[in-house]
Amino acid sequence: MNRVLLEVNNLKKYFDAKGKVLYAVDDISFAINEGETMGLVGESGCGKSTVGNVLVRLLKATSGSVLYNGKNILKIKGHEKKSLCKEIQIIFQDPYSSLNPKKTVYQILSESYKVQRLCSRREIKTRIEELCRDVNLSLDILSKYPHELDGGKRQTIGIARALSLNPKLIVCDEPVSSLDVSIQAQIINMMMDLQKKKDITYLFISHDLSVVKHISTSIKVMYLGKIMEEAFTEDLFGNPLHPYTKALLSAVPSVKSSKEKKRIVLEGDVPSPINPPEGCRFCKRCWLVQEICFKEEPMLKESKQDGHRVACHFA
Amino acid sequence: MEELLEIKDLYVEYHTMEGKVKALNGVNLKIAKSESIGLVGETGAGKTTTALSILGLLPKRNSKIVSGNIIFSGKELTDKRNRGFLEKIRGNRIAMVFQNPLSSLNPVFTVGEQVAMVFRRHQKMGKKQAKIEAGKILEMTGILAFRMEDYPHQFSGGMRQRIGIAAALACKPDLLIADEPTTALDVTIQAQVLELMKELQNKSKTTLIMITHNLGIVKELCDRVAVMYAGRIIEEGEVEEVFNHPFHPYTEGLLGSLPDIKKKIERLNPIKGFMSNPMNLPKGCKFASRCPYCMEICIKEDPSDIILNDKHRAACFREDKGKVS
Repeated sequence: MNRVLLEVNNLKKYFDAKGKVLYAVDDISFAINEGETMGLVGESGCGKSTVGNVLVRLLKATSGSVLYNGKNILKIKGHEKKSLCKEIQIIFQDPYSSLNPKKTVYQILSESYKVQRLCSRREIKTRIEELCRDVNLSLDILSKYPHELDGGKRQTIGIARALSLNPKLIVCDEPVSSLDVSIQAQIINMMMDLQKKKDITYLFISHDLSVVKHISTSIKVMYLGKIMEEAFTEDLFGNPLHPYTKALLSAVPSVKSSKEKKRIVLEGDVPSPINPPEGCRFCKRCWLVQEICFKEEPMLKESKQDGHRVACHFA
Repeated sequence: MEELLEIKDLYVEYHTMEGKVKALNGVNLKIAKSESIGLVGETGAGKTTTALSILGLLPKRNSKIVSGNIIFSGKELTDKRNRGFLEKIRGNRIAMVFQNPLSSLNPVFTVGEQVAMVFRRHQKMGKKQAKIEAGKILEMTGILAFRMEDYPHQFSGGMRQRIGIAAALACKPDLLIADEPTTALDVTIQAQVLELMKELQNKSKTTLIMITHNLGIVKELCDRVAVMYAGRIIEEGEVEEVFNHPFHPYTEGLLGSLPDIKKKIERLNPIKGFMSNPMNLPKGCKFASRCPYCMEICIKEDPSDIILNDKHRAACFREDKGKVS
């Protein structure tokens, strides 16, 4: 087993929604091992991106702790916080809004070196060129502006920017969701190669189960701010225990499935995180629901398999 | 089987500030009655342009059908003299479900009114009668009657798409064109919409053109698939046949780039490079620059369709699969 790099304990993030409380992330805990990829899946509004943003301190947590190499990074300030950027970086979902349209690619990529005052101007140039080689970008792209490039190239620049400071951990917030399949595959391959080469740990946030399955070592399934099930990738896909996970898996259309496939169709929509149901968060859409589910919230508990934990009264 | 729609050698261009964009370059497609066909391809392949040309909804300001024919139940739709006919059948015999239900529904009318409008326009119903019919069709797609007085913004994404589908199905169209109807939705909601479409297909035998980039959806919903690349259908045939024995290197590449939840793949096998700029398409096969099997002839000539068997055609010079030169 690899060393634990990041440990999240009882993390909560509540937003204020016109006087009401929006429970975006409600008491979740997990750990990521060094060199591995942890997938975080769930539908829109389940809080997965909020988790990512809290980890890179773009959002302030309501409570809980995040230990990076044993140190609580939610508490650090000033100089220490700035140097945290060298350790943890983020890749955003939308490559159209995450690059500054007024800056050339070179300026975008050199920014992190300048902010961190890492090296001289001349050295920045050689480092950026090296970076471009790592992500297979041709050097003539450096003088271009983001609007001159297509989605795939832009996302590659987003990845290059995240890599520029040689971080240990990269939070990937739906990095391939807006790309076409053939480009998506190029980016996924590149990310996996870089991981091997530079020993990077990924937190991979996505709603696309097949992509998460492909890239992750272990997976957490979120629903309305809670973790519903966690397991190693093979266990989760081979033997899903939570009814929500089962429904999610059966909902994915696959090239391998037949036309007559029976799927579990969940009724209704994801309830609002402003007023989450009492008891189990999933009770309103669950087809196996019993009386206890409305009253008591199930805890995440160990199943028979190693590392496979599920929050359901009947799993 | 009786033919419902035929597209013959369709060329469409857009005129933009930067120049002429060749969006469709010779699309050929035949669709029989009560068949469902999946139109797949990447952004910019011409899927939506094909759909809009069928409906006569191409923006007049900057686009035009250069040549080709669209024949719907015996009538030529590209002919200006048939404009009246097209207006009569649009929304009536040919209907479309759009990708983004929030922008395709009118925000200032209640959903009941919007669906009723279809009945009033095409079936010349009275207000009351139309409202009753609208209620029925909305109920069929899972929208309860008491919500008819609500406005689109009061519904969730999945429900809005159901309303879009209800409006499209109102007049029991012969042909339903669905343009990425589930792309904006979550998987569990997508599953609901797909099940609904499957059910409708079984019940009313509507002919369906499903535009999507998700090959899994095609597999589950369609009989045939047409793969588009740079404004042309480069491979077409029965879904089973095409997915199990892809002939065109592009189809092969698409299938190779998909991670799948049912199968363990060590490494994805993507298509290298990017799609050629539609403003400046190369001579010869449009896929040549990305093709692992590219031969000399591919750069010089555009391949014509070859018939592989009665269920399968492709546009490629490759005679023997697997031969790399």
